[in-house]
Amino acid sequence: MVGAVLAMPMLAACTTLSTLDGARTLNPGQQSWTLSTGLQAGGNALSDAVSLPLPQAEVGWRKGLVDNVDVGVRVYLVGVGVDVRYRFLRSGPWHGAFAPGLGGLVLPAPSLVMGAVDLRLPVVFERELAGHSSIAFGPSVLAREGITWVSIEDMGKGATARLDVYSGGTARYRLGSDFFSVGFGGDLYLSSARRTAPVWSTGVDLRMRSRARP
Amino acid sequence: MSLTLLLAGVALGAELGGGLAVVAVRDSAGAFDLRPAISTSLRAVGGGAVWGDLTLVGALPTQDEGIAWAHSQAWLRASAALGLQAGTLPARFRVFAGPAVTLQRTTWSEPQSVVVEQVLPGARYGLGLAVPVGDRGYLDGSAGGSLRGVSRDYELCLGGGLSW
Repeated sequence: MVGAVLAMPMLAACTTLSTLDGARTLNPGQQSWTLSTGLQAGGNALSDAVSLPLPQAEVGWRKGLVDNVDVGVRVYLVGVGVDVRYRFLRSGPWHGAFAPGLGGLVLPAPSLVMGAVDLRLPVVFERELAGHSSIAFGPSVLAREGITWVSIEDMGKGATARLDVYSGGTARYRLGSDFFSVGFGGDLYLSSARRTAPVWSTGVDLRMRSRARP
Repeated sequence: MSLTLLLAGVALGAELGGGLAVVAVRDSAGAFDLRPAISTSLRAVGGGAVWGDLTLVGALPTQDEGIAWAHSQAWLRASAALGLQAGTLPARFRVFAGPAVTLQRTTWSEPQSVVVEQVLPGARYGLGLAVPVGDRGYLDGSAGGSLRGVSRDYELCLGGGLSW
């Protein structure tokens, strides 16, 4: 029981709502690191319960695989996600990318194991602006299957599962150079659950990119 | 033999595919119930950016039980969608939407045995990726939703097929 209580704060941000990346994929072999922090309202059990925005922080890493395709890993409070980003559109200053990804975590505690699996389907469009800045925006769907396994002595074992589907979008402004940039933005989602308020996140990130291979 | 037609400078192709799906259906308690489904589709691709398809999705029956009642429900959905696709590589990002009609069969076992069949109008929509494999094959995955009367379902389909 104590473990379950201790685990609840860890679940406070077990799903990040933020869409950190735009649509411009990295060149093959190029890497980037992103540090992000912000606030998130809803999208997890504790935030829903207290009806207050909660802090979120994450570290992201990406690497270009081939032209127009890169892969990313993000570690956030508290969870891990991976995605593959495919730039399907490139026309002048405009870029469009689809970045399906999976995320989640399992938190074991005495008598209780809580876990969640997220499927993310963001479609992001990005327009390059003057001075190495850009704006990015687009729709996104986030489906999360939360599962709780309970094992109580003298009462037996059981499991409950709940699917939540969030539909919304992202908008982000990025300013900096090819190798260092700052991003500001937010995400807003409506939940499939009945009688629930919109969920959102907003924050700032710092990004460093390695130089592209010649 | 290639069935691709060159008509007025526009390449027309066809794809025949099928796959497995997971459909999330809201049950009587308001929660989503995940159930397996099977899909098959016939698709015409024209002009490189536009396509249309006819898709059948069948959901296997699952039980939904209350205190004094129980029923199982299965359905078969036919949809016609118009889609757009784009890609900087042979893989294509796709979005689609179109009308759908669902034949739904509900079998009540409690409090008495009753079978109800309904034809429900709706829509189907989504997005996904299609990746060519070899000369004629492709793999695709799509995620989206559909309307079945007043009910809204979510679908995740993975499959493949042949293209001409």
